[in-house]
Amino acid sequence: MERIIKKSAPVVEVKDLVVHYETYDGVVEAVNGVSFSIEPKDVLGLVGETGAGKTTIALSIMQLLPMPPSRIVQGSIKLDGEELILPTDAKKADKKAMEKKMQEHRGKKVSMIFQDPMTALNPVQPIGDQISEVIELHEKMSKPEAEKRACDMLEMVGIRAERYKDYPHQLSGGMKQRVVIAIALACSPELLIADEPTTALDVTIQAQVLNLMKDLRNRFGTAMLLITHDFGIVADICNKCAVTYAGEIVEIGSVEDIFDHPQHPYTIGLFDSIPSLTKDVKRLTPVQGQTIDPNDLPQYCSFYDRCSKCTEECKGCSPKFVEVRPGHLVKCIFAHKEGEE
Amino acid sequence: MSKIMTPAMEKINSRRKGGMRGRSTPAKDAWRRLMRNKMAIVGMIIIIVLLLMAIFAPLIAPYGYSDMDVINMLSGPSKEHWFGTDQLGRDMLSRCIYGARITLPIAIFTVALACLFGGVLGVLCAYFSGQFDNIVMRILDIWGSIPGIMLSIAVVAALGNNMYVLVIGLSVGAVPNMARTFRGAIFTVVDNDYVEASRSIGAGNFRIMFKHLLPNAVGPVILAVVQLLGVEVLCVSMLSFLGVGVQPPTPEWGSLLSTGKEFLNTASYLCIFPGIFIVLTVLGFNLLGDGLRDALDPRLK
Amino acid sequence: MALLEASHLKKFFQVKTGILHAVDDVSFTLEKGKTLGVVGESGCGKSTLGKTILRLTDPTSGQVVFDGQDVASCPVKEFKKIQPNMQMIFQDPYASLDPRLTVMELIAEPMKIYKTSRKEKIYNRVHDLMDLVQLAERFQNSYPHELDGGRRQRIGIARALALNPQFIVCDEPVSALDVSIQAQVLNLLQDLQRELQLTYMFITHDMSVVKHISDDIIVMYLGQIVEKSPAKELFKRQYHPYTKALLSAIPIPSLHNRPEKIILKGELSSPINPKNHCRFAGRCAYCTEECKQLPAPELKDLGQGHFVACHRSEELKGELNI
Repeated sequence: MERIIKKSAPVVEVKDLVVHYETYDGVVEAVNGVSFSIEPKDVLGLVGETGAGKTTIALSIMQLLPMPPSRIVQGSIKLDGEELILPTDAKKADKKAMEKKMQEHRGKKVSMIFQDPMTALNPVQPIGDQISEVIELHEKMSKPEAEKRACDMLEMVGIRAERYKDYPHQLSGGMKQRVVIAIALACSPELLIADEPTTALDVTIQAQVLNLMKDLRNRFGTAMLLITHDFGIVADICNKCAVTYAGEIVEIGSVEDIFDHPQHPYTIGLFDSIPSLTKDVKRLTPVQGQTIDPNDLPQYCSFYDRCSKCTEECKGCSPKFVEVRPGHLVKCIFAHKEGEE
Repeated sequence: MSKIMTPAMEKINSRRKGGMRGRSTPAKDAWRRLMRNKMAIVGMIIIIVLLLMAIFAPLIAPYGYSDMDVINMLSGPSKEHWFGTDQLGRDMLSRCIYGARITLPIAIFTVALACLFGGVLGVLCAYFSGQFDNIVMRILDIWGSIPGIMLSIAVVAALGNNMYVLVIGLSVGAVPNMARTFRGAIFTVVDNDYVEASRSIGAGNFRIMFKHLLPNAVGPVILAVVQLLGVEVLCVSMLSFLGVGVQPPTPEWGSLLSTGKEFLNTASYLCIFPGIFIVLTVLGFNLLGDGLRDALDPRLK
Repeated sequence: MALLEASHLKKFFQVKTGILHAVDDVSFTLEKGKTLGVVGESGCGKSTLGKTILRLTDPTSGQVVFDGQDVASCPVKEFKKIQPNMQMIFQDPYASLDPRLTVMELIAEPMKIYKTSRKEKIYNRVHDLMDLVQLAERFQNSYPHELDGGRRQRIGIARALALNPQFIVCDEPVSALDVSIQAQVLNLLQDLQRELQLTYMFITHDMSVVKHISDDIIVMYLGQIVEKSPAKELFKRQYHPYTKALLSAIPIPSLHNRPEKIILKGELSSPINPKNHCRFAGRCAYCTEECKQLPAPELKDLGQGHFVACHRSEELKGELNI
């Protein structure tokens, strides 16, 4: 990808990631060859529906996948240039060493916010302590210093520092999510992974939290991987966007590319099926068919059964990425470079 | 992206080709998990063996349970009498085998009766909640605070000293716990939307309780039933040991222990063998119960 | 002709700390064949409103007149005769279906309870219903957990249609579904409304969905209606600060024409023992001292079917809609 601006080392670089869940009833092909990179200050929106593999990708970067039943079959994940995936025949000692390294990275280099704020906090620990715990683990600070920093974080996310000793049940959903964000950003990580951070919140609270995230992103310069199913949130906060289906990225590019010039039939279908606040439409145009069963993926294009533009040719091969514009990749045999035919 | 074939996928494919693509339900999953637990299988085998022993006792036992071989009174284990004989020359092995025929049915009927009454109470309490639940639970608390053995003895004293009354007495002691188990189990499912959905299509309370709630709450109940069976076997033996319910010459293990204790110094085998049977039975139910609890635990999926 | 009319409907719950005003004096009328959209965030009472109307929970006070009959206070025996006419589609397509029953049993159950037809006829009717909701016949012996969200919701819809109702409360029927499936189910609901002349009360928190499907909309906040208006009108002009904030908070899936977001300060106040003034006062950008002293505002008619409950509605008319 050509970039006119100065190229800096990516915060995270994922290449050809393949992750399977091995269960008694079948192998779930959760992630099937995903590649992307996130530069500093980027906010990449990972959009997709249930079963697209987004959470699995996030957990792979955090190395929090339960193994078994999951297995990273192949691929590479580089966090700040450091390879996280060990070869399958790695020795136990190596695995232990890698886990130890990851524990140092989690919270310090890469943090994650999960979907449900109601269960993300420890119910028997005061919120301030949950923030200072992360600080004490990673920074060489005394307890009082860590507590002071935790108070600063609370203020930064819009909670009065006097509430340091409050317990999670005394807070509303929106405030709990803010505490979660404070914990995640306490050590100024380079990458923040947010897995549907506002799905469980009311719309007006969601607006507050998204505003906060934008603010903090600007202040700390943190890169973000934002997982969501809502294009509205992507338009609000992201500068890059990747659309996923059946464990693969089918289209990736800047938000201008995806919103103004979508190319993949699935992306276009998703945009068309959203009811619009501005236009008056008699009938929605949904994407036909059902989400594909990840137990049973075909050898050819996974979107074939639901695609309105597919032909017999689509059944014959597995589509590869086509760069239709600089930085805008589409995985469809009908995509073509701008200007070409 | 062309599919990557891993060894796990090939294994699944060959299983599928062999026609083993069954639909997996939560019940099947739980059964599979149970079958992988060696201790649970041991427990199941013990119980099956004991049940068969009880059913086929006349065919298996070498002698009748009251046949007296007077010459060989109080003789230790030998070729003719594997478990020895008691003070009236009765073969201990046969008496132990027939003992299963007494203990197991009593325990099973007790648990069945406790399930019936405790179950209905528990379901009603969980469904109707509020004051009704409060009152019934407080009554059950008082009821349950009386030791089960005392209650059973009281019932037998009141109604007569025979096996049928024993069943009633024991189940009276077991009802509070069963009621609490059923109540707890129903609580886990009563908040589901399908309860309200059933109401919206006109279902009455009875239908909702027994057709929708109970079948879905069956997991913890099965576990409690199996555990209670173990407990009741012990209780039956305890009461017979005390002379309540089962009278000699009925060869219940507990009463065998009771007569055998007179001869502890000279013929300890009179106590050891019935004791082993009691231990094995309770162990079998406990092992199965533990295995069931692990198999039904949704978090271990 | 109004099929459904709710007057001063109230539903209060007794909780440890006091009385929870879940639905507080709600009135509206619904014409046959139309859709009333009910929007609001969590805690506004919209789900409780739906359940109270169907008498799944008895109202504390107020009237619900369905087809000329008061269903809120009539004896249970009478209500049972009307119940088949008023059905519900639930939000969670998994929790609302008994996991131990097959699709056939789930859809047939209402007919079995009301003994509407004989066994063979029930079987055929289930097939007809499955056809109607576009659920393939081969799923009749499947269990809910074997099907995806969209299909499960179709089972819920088929079950709601089993007794030939006139009125259906749709409680967030598409909120738990994927975006691409949402559109399918919304289209289905609209087609069914046309074909079977159904009347809907559509409860949701999603403004874009409610705009698409409703004829009239009521906006709820902490148990009260703050604004009531025909759907098209509401999206052109909002007269209550909460409605305005709600609309502006919705993330727009477009990089252009992005409206200024009104960020509400603070959190929802408690519905338990609420004070007797405007419940939105604490968070409202236009709130004055007077607003905190006057009793809760009544719905005022601003013309063209547009009602708003705000003390400052006359002054703010222009300001809110520049």
